[in-house]
Amino acid sequence: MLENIYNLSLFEFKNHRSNITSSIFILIFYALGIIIFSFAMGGNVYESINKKNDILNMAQMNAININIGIIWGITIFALLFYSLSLFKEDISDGTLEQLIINDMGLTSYVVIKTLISWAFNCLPFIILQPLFTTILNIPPSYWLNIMLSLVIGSLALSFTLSLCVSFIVNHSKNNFILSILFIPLSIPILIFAISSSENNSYSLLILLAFSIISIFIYPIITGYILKQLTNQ
Amino acid sequence: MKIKKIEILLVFLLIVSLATTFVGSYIGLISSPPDSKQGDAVRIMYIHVPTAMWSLMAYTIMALVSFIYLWTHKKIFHLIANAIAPIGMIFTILCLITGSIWGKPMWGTYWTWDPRLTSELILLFIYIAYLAINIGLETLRRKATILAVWTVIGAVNIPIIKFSVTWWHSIHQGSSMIKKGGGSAIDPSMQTPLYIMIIGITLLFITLSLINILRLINEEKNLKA
Repeated sequence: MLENIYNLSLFEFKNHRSNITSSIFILIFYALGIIIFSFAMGGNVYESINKKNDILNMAQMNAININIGIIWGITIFALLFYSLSLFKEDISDGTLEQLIINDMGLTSYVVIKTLISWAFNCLPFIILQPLFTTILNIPPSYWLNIMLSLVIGSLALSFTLSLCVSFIVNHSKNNFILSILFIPLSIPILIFAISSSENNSYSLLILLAFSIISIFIYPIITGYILKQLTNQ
Repeated sequence: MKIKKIEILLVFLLIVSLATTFVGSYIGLISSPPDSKQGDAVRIMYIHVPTAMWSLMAYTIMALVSFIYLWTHKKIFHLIANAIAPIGMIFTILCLITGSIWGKPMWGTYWTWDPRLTSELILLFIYIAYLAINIGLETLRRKATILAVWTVIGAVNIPIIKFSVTWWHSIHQGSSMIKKGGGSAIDPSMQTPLYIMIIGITLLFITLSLINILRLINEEKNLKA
């Protein structure tokens, strides 16, 4: 069993490494999104943040909150971008059937698949967050919280997305349906993710709880759905 | 062509439910007094409360029958959930629209990201997602299972909507029909039309659901034939 998990992890790792260009594309998409939004917001927002005050005033706080919202908005788009074809190939080429025959639980497959694609597609832009937050003029005191909430929140969102993708894996209009499925499940996570990015430790704990629930419960449901699809 | 007994019963139920709703609306909109604080705006309550109630109840029934479907794999439970979904969605839309209209004179805005309002909007998205999956999936067994799983997952939202006003600071008021210590915060002159409307909307929901269930059962029979 452990050997199977190790082999599958290695296979997924190599698979993603050979497709590294798609991860780079997502990073470029993320960076472009941040730059376009910072242009679209105009100079007034940044002027208000840059005023030298010891204590941030209301306008500065609002500008920072808007920029944190932008970060999360683009994160959602990036996640949707890479999740669309998460299981499609494995179903069509029979990998899933092989896993079931080899007595490999689909739950662990979902966990491995989601974690590795998260590491390849999400982690790079989380690591580069100080750069993006600098472009958006968010003060360094926010960086740690933004990165921490992005790590926890994007993990929860990735597992939520893998569940949504499993619902529509053979669906004819999957891009449209995926966003409809993703909205209701992602709103509660987003509310606490944005709040925890704004230095709210209580929200960070709730976000952590969401993340733990997503990691432990969603793969079981996703595995069940994928098994139903393969058993057809 | 013979008219079946069930069809006569459905027509009867439809007439009764529409008549009850009409009587309730008449008393609520014309005969009942305006509120001392809210004035005539309170009359929206007679539509808002029953539709809100049934937006949640419809989903709760859907979740229950979906769970039973996952347990037993009997198609009838899938059909029941499938029949209730569009009706529940319409009630949720009505609840949100009437709530917004009521919100403007009371809160000064049509919409605010309050926990109760947000969770009710999430419920609407869950209904929309259910119908979106229902439209496009071809193989019935898979579709039924996927829809059932989706409905059970979405059921997490129901207690959140119900208790959002007590768990978080909410601009939305708590329940006035049944207060904590017993009794009601609503004046008897307003209680009567409200209860008539609740009965009317309940009957309407049951009738529409039954019509839809029968339609789906007939479609199934035709497919098999």
